[in-house]
Amino acid sequence: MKKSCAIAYVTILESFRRKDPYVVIILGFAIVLGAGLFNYFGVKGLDKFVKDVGFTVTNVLVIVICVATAARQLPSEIANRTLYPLLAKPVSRTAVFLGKYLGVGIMASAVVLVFSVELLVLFAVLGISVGGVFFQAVYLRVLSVWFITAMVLCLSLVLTPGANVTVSLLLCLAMQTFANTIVTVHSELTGVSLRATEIIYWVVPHLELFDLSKKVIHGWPLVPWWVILAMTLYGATYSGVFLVLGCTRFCRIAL
Amino acid sequence: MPETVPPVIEITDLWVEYKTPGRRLTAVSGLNLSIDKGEVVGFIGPNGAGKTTTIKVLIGFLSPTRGQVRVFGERAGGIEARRRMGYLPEVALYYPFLTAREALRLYARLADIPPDGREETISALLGRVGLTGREDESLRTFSKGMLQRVGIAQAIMGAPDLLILDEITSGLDPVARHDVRKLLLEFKARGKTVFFSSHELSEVTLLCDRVILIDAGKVIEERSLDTLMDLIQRYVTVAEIESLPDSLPEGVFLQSVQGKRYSFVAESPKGQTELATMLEGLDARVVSTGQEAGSLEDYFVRTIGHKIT
Repeated sequence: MKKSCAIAYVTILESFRRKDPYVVIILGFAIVLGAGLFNYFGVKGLDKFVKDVGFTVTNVLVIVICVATAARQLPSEIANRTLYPLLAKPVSRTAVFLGKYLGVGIMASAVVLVFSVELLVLFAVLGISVGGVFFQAVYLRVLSVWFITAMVLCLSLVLTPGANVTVSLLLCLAMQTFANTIVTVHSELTGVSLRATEIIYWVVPHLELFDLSKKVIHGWPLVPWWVILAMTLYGATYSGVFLVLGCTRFCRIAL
Repeated sequence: MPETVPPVIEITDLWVEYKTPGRRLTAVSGLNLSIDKGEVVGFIGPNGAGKTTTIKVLIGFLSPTRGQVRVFGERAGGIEARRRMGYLPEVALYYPFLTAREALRLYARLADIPPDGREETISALLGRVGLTGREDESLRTFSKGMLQRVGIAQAIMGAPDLLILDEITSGLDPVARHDVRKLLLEFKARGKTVFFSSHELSEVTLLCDRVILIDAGKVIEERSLDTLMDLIQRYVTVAEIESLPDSLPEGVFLQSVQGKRYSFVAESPKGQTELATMLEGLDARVVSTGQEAGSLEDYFVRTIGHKIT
């Protein structure tokens, strides 16, 4: 575990020295600030608009930076041969893979937390209130980036970085929206189509379950804690599946 | 009964095949070699001979298609085997966003160098490879030679029992090459084992106990350095004759001409004797005979060329 932590530390260092998270955080802040300025025109009800913009920007930019960072980790190490002196040391490939996962996950979680603090400060300055569900939303968003990191790392061993970014972003979009679509059309389907959509519904991860932004925007009460626990187990299970698949693949590839 | 020490490296009938679309490429075919503790062995061969592939199998980057490879008696590529070895790849980049000190700190953590004294170890290593004063600069600013020095530092970290070096002096200036040679000789003096590949045949003559020549994935020759140096001896005869004969004995070549003075080189004493007999028949005056060290490169080219045909 110590060796995975050493690799995670270097992964985080790389992200911040490349300045990727800074760009995302500043960009996000600028967009939300811009939305917040509408509040000064005296239009009532714009607090929901500001919250909506804030959460949309957070969700999109966090997913983008998570996917972009995870997609390049292992392919660039292999292409640049920085993996050679690393794996010549007494460290297992599993430890390297887990180190990369930890590094990207921690970096993306930090970006979520920084965005969250930015939003809280901005909302406070603009006089917009948020309930406890805001913090539940932040927690589930952090959980989702760990799952997305595992998925992208796994895909990075079979796709080129460019293809992986495209496919992963499309998958994130699909996983965010397909459930509602399936529920809408389910009653109209029959036979093979019905079975296929049911299988997709139950097997493919539901990313929309990790998104509580609508509840924050409309001031809903706290989500029951057993639901949060269930979501934690749900996210951990899918992350585990991708980690096992990715690690197995990584341990077998010839360098 | 004295306990037998297993070889440090033992390769038995190693085959490595790459599967490409439509065909199978054999990089190593039935390689056998054994290296004992304390030996310094040079692994030389033309490009594509299988040197780097063999080294990758030793480290564990590749799995053998067939055969057995053991390092310190353990399966090659295992954690315990890698704990006792240091590796310098032919071409490697080190994380450009790290400083030299940070990079070595990472490798020290992975090599289980204890935290107490780790920083002193790193500072000493940086001094040893001539990077004092540059330790806190980003590796992005380092030249190829300086990166190679970082590589050497990480390879010798923890005083490994086995050093595996792929193209040991690639990218180094003459001063750095001298320092590397000195370092390897120190390793040898301490009873460590060194296995290296190189295109610089001068490194072979200066460092090795034994030389293994590989081509097309197979060991072509394996000789001690002393035997090899005897084999590449050349036998020089300088004679004055009216004109060059139409043909020379096998293995005899004309080296130079100055007026009527001809200098001949024979690859073996037999060739020199046959030349002497021929010159006697031509009423030539033999000015001098002697020996000189031949070119290892010529021997290398002749041996590989002969074996390919």
